[in-house]
Amino acid sequence: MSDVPIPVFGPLAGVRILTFTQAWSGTFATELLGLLGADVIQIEARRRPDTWRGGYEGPIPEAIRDPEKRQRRWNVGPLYNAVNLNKRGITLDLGDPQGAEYFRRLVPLADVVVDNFSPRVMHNWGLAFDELSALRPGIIQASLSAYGASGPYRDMPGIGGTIEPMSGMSSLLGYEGGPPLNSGNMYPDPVAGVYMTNAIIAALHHRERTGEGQYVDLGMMEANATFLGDAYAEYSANGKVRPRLGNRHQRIAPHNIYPAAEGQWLALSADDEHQWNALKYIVEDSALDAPCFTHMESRKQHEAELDAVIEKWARRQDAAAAEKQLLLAGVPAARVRPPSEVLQDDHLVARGFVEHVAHPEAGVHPMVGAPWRLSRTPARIVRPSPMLGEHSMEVLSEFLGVTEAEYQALVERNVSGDGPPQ
Amino acid sequence: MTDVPAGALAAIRVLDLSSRLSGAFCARQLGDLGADVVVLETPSGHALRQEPPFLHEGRGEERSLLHAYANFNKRSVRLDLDDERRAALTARADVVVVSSRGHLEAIRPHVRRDAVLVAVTAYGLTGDLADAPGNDLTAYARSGWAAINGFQGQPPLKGSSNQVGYLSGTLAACGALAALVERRKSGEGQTVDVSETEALTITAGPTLLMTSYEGRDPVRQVADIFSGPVPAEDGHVSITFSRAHFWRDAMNALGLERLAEDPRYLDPWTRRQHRAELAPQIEAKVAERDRWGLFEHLGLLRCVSGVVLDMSDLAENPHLRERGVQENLVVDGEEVEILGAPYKMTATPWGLRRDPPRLGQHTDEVLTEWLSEVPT
Repeated sequence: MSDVPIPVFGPLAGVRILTFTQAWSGTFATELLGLLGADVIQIEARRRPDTWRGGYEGPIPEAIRDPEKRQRRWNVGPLYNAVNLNKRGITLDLGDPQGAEYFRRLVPLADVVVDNFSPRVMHNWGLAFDELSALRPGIIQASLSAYGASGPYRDMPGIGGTIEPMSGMSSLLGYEGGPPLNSGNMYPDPVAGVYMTNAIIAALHHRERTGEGQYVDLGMMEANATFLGDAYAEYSANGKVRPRLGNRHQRIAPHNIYPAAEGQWLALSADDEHQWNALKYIVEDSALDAPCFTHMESRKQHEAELDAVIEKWARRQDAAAAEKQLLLAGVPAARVRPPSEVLQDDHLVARGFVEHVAHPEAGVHPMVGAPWRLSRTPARIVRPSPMLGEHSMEVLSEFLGVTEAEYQALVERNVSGDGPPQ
Repeated sequence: MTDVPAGALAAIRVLDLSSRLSGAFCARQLGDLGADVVVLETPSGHALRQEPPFLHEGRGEERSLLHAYANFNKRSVRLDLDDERRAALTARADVVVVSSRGHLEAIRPHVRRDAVLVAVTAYGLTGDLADAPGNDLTAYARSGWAAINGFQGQPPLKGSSNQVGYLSGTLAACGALAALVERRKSGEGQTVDVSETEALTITAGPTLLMTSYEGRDPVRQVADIFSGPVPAEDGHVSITFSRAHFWRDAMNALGLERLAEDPRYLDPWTRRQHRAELAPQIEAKVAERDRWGLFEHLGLLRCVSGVVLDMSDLAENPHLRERGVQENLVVDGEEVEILGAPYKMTATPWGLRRDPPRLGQHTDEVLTEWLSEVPT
């Protein structure tokens, strides 16, 4: 494998992952591994491409339409392309005996096999942990599902939008006095995903020391519930179900998002007395000198009155200028940015957090990938999300010595290839 | 608690110098995996000891449940800020966690060359905002999250309590783990710089690229069954219609056969055009059903739905019980049930190894253990 032409970088250089993950949660886990330098081979089937590709039929997104270019809908899905950076994409249909056989031949070359199927799928394919271990001693198998591989909901279907309510997340998200909400961002997916990554890297660390592989079983419901750990402990210890807090905080006031001039919004809080005094100096309203605002506890008790005074000031402010002034004074503040402005942010760009990624069919777009700046072995974006089957021939020939003629035979039978089944 | 097998990070020493939830949760997760984690506190204690919620709602340095949850699986050492043994402890650690750039620069001379130095800060260690104040609220505002979260006609909305701390701490643990794996090969350490703002922005990644591809900003949601939970007879449920059969089978299950068979509604795109007339019909039917009955009925049809569970529901939930997620911690002398393992590992399981430490509980023990060795 010494002539493998992949960029060598990052702390996980040399680690090879085979993954069946789709949509976002498990996909986020394997993307993080790829951003850390692992060689991640994403496996799809032509008859069942990743749902986040958006299907074979449908329009090309408006702002990227380019009549000069061949653009296939399934290669320009923004959701898929956002979350599969640094992976090589192959198609291999494991429902076909020959496809399954090729996969078995790949397993001995892999360190980790990842899936986000219902628990029974890998079993049905004969790819349970014992079977994979027989093919590759020391392998790490990581399976992510809605509810995990055991328990009464084991076979229940679930996705981010239904794990959000089932994990307790939705019950705490929302406006004060309003109904429970789902986030607009499918938040439970990356929460479960990063836990999966951590378990996989911990398993790699253990294997480096001992040679022993293992099986990781992650259920999205419980993984997400642990992010509500303090609210759960509050209930179990005090019998208190925390209400939805909107933009407010349990202890701190002021802590809110206020309307500013020209339809903008300004988030600000004063987390301690130093910040409070700085805020008072800027707002310059004698109403803030009232005795009820002297201490944090009393500010919290009179939060509605306090918010009214600050809102009166905020409505007259240019949100960007106010943000700058407050930050200089040591007060946490931020203008609410619409998504289109987030990746133009000078600070994020200066840190190298935003990278411009060129995709062969979708063009060049600013993107975010790695959430870490590593000083000696940087994590970075080295390739765009793969087009369907883009690396099938490359990977099969590199790893298994498959010839062009053998590959074409697989394509004709729809076992591999780069588009809808024929 | 004493029978937990050694974890994947056995023999790794972590020094937790954090002052924010993010760094504390990062260090705890290394402890969950078996590392020997020491939280080094000043006489006034870790900042989280002052944060609510408190056991029986009474303040006290041992009574914060947020502290208890973020600092179990650690030992506590209490030393004055000018105590020179702080530097000696720093020099013994394989991983050091800090919460600010100033703190990082102050301790860097004492950190071993082969140690992993993790900084989880509001905006990262570089750039104009490196020393600027930030928190959950500002991260939601800057990341594009607040702008699209919540309802149309209402203010932008942040996520629920402490999400940025939990999320960035978990991502920081990920970076630390990767650096530890790399260290086994190179013998060298490095700095892992994690910005809380960037950690949250990653979770808006699909929305940000969609905005770029579509050339227009998304807007906050309309409150209906297509965006999230709606009332059932005894609570709230969420239903997803992303596949054609989900729609057809769910409509039949709700007694809306006419909608199930109408070809206009099978495709999600054309269905959205009729959202305003469809949503009230579906919501009226959901409102007549009990939440668990509907969840089970739809699940049998392989349709995806979810019941809104609050903390009391989670505590009673049979699935979490059977999965063994709950654990008991001793907090200020009382047992408190918490949520434990987020994943199951067969060889090196997640483990609750230590109750949250009292301030300075392990000072002598750790100083003896860590400082008795000749430094390498």
